[in-house]
Amino acid sequence: MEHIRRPNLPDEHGSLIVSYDPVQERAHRVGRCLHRAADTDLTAAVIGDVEVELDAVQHAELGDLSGRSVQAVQLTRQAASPVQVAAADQMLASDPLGSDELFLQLDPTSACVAAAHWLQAAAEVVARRSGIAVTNVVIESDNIEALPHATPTAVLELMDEGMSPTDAVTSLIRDAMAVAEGEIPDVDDLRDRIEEAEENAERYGQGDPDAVAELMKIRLTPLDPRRPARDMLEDLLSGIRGCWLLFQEYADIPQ
Amino acid sequence: MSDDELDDAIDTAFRDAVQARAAADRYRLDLEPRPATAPAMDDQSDDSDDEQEVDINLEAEDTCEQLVQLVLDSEQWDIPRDIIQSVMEIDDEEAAGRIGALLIARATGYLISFKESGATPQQLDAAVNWIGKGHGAEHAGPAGVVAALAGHPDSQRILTQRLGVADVTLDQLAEFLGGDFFPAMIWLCSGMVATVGGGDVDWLRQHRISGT
Repeated sequence: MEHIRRPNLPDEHGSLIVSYDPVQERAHRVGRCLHRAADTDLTAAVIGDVEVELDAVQHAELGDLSGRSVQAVQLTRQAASPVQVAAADQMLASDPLGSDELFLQLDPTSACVAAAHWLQAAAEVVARRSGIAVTNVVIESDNIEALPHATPTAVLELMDEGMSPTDAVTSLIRDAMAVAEGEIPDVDDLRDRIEEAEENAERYGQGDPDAVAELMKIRLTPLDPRRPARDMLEDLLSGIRGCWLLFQEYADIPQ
Repeated sequence: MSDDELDDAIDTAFRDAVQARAAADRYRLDLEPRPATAPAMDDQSDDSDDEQEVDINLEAEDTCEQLVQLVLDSEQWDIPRDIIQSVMEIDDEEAAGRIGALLIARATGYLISFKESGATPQQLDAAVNWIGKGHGAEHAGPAGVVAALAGHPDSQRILTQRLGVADVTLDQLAEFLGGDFFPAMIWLCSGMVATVGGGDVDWLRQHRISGT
């Protein structure tokens, strides 16, 4: 805020000190614009609005997405807020299939943690009824209605290995954010998948270039790297819906 | 029942079952401490959604007595194995170690008390034989081994021969039996309750050593 009020200005030789910190430099730029405008009321109004915005960021960091802080629902954070997880858990307790409120009112990473927990519960219920393994129920439900099964299955597999919903969700989101930055999150895993793809291409794609091309497609993350948390939330809720579909298939018909 | 009513009934059944499951395992969300209780024991042969659940406070003074009661009532002799396995799977290693050590210490206390109160080799033999007749050598064998803690001379002699040491320590016995160490003590207690205690688990209480 201080940089907006008193920005770096060109000296008498025309030299200007530029901050290496992009946030600070942007504040200086705004300050220079206001300096040129030389309107006290305008400066007070801009500073007041920036203060409200910063306050909203701080509230969002603390898990309070009321008021202007609700903008955070569009962002992806690596960490989950316990307050937001509890709120999402409450929403899913009201409707285990999920609702739009999860997308509109909550930090998506935290909502994913709660959704992963509810997906696990749904998968266990269906697995028990159908005899299908917990980690396979979403893939199986894809036979009833096409749905994005890769992410929910990956989350179920991680939790089946003993990870908590928080760790399962944040590890996949962290990987997707790394991919968005142009990094490969797990080189060993990628190497294994390349070998597997090559074996499959050799086995099933002989003489069919299209099939080989399809079999050699490898995704670095099951999530959309541009919006990983919201993408995961959509997929996890689809996974719960898949469990619901499969439950109907195996439901005993009352007499 | 119309098709719509049937769909509604199935939908309600799904929601109820998922809500119950999610609520029971809410500790997974890390919003509250993981309960030190035994997890649900699934009866795979039961098609209904009504799971058989056992809620045992693993840190209570009478945990072993509750377990013995459960084993005798349900005749599911693998319950102690499931419980110790569940404890080992607790994410918090410190809590797992503490609860595991507490369970073993408390179970050992009963066997030491058998010895100190003068349990005879014949009584211990009768308990082990009762287990063997009803539930096989799989459970009677380890119970016979831990009878050494209760002062059975044959068990002690066999152990010292097998392990090649003059005096078998608790750690050596635990290593020898592995994951069956704690279950074996519960099985022997169950056998003693059935044969010496007349089937009344309250009999076991006199052998509870407080403060462990």
